[in-house]
Amino acid sequence: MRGHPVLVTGVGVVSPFGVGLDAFHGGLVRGKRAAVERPAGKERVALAKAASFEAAEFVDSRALKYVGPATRMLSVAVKLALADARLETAEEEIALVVGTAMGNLPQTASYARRIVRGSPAELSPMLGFDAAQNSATSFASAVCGIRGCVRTIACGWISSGVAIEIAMRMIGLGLAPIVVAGGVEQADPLLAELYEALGFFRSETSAQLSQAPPRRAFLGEGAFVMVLETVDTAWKRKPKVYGRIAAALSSSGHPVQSSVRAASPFLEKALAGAEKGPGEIDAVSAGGCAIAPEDEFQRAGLRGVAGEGVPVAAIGALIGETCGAATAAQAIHALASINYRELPGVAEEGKEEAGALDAEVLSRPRRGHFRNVLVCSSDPGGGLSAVVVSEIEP
Amino acid sequence: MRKEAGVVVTGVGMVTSLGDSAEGTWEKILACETGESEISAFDTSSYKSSRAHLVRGGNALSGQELSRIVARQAVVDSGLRIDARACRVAVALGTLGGELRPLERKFAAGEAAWERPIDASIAALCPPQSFAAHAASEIGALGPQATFLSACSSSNHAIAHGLELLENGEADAVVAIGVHLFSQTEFTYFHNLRSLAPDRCRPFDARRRGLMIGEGAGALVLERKESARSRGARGYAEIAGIGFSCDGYHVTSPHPAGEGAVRAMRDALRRAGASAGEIDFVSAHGTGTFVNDPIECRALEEVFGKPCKVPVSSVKSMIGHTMGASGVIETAICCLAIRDSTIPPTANFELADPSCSVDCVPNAPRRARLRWVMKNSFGFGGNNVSLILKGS
Repeated sequence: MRGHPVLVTGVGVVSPFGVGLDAFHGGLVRGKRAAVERPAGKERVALAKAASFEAAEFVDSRALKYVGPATRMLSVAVKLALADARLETAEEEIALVVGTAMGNLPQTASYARRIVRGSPAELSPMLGFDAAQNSATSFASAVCGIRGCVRTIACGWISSGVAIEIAMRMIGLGLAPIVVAGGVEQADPLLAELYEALGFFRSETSAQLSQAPPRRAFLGEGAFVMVLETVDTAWKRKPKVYGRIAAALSSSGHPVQSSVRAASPFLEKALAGAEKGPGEIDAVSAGGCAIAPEDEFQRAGLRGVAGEGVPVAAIGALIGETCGAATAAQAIHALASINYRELPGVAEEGKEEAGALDAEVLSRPRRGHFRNVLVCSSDPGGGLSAVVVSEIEP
Repeated sequence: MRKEAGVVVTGVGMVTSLGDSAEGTWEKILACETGESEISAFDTSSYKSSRAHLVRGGNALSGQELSRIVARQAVVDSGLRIDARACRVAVALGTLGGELRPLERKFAAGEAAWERPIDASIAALCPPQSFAAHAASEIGALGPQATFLSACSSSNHAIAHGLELLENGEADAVVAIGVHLFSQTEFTYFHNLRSLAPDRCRPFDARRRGLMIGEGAGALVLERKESARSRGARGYAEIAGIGFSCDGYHVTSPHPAGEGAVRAMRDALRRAGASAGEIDFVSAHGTGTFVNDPIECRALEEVFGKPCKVPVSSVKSMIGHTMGASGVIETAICCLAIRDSTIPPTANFELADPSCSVDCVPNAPRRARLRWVMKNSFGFGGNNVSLILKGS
């Protein structure tokens, strides 16, 4: 949708590199893959869990003991973002829009398993408290005192891109003055198994973008949220402004092959929405998680729209495939790159085709002045998502 | 004050425990029939309830099938021809989540079955967005798709999303869908919360004992008023305004005074440009639980005055609580109520409760000209949506 001047005034992150934006960006520019674990007993996709953190340090709720990783991560991220933006939820009508591919499905399944295997009528209801697929958003809204519209969006791996797009639309239409938007996903053996069953993580599909030896995709997790608002609401509080979302666009549910064909026109449309030409894009954040349909879309799209020598970062190679949270993770890393003037995981100019990712290059950060970063991500089922993140001009 | 763009409902579709179509369900609602039946999908001997409102007697259709059926019904009802503008037709769907029943069956089959890898046919049913994809495929819609998981107000958010797309010019028509599937997991959860009625759902009645889960799906075709008019389509009603709020109060309990519900209703009235005094009928959330009904009634009194004189009824007494689908299904029922100038009744009402002192249209429909209708959905976790329909 066409550019409303929507600012990012707060950021909240829980990632495999730790809690907070500095930990996230620091981990990315160090260029080392997050630590992974492999579920015992089976040859399954590796999981990069959020680095150890104590949710109780951030969130004051006795109910924390009943909730799982997604709910804890999101609650902490929303709390951090609100504090970062200097927002008091009691005084403002703040909305919360969160994208997630599977939400709390692992908790739902765990609860279901106990029910069908045991004495269901005797189970404590608190065991099911975190078992709705929107439980993370619901819990976060309660513990953070969110009083506006609260939505959980499930659109596969572009869910958080759709959440950002919806947040932009809500602000643009005057439906919500301030929106906390982003995504959450957990790296769980059940989800890995489901995705494997769907063929998303087959080893032969790995590293289609890369000219280096194939990398193996892995599942990552985290919560990545931003406070979005217009200048009108922000100016009173004078928060730090990280940048602006110049455009957010998604397209859902079309077959993979057609989405590959649609990639360039789609990204061109996103740039047009941001009123930017390809020459104005200083960097690209591709998912680059080494899953064939995703990488193929991004390669096709970036060939079409990214200018020669535009550096491409691929944080999926470092934190794993964060699925429904991926677009938000990339958008926040784009904001960090703009603010810290340092881009993680850059494909070298001229040596490879535009958009090609290389495992060796991923370890080298690139310093520079990045004014506009194009974020693109996709869903193996065919969904496309793009966000244009821009620097705020003085 | 911001007025919503003129968006009308031009088609409805529905599958509930009362019937496989919107008209079939409506006919039985007018007869005050209830659709509960015995659960046969699992052993209920350890539970204090064994009944629910099930489609075709239970577990007959998958979420993908339900989505396809209601989407097709609504599009046929609207007379909308999608072929020429498929890219401008969007699908927005609300549900609690993807299919759980295949996973339940796998767990129930024992440890050995669980240790075997999940096969693709089960995995494909798990992503919640698969319902919207199937509905879009059924009707040939190639526009944006989005799936909303917001507890009992999920499909209200789907309707709201449709309005936003239409108002922003990003679609010419939106099929808003709600789907709810019955599962043992959900049944157990509500049972153990002591929220399930053992026999019947009795909203606002002094002897109410809880909700009854309802399976079902509904769909609405939404179009801008001028588009509908230009193709000569009948509009059931205009969606005049939607209000949102979140209690932001407690992780499990609703605000005791219904503060969030009041804000949602007032927000909807403001956006619709209507006053409380103009509302002719409120389709309540009306779950029939001991705690929620009085809170909703207090909120209604806060908005409409005490005593609340506007008729307030709950079709959940007849079709059960269809959870994430209830917003769309009950909005479709409001459309039929406006068309036929008839307020649907609250079934099973026998004994008045002083803490629920609303005119609940007990046990028989009531003729009334319905110009403004409010539909409330107050989801678990304090996710409140109030929607206002305007008849012609």
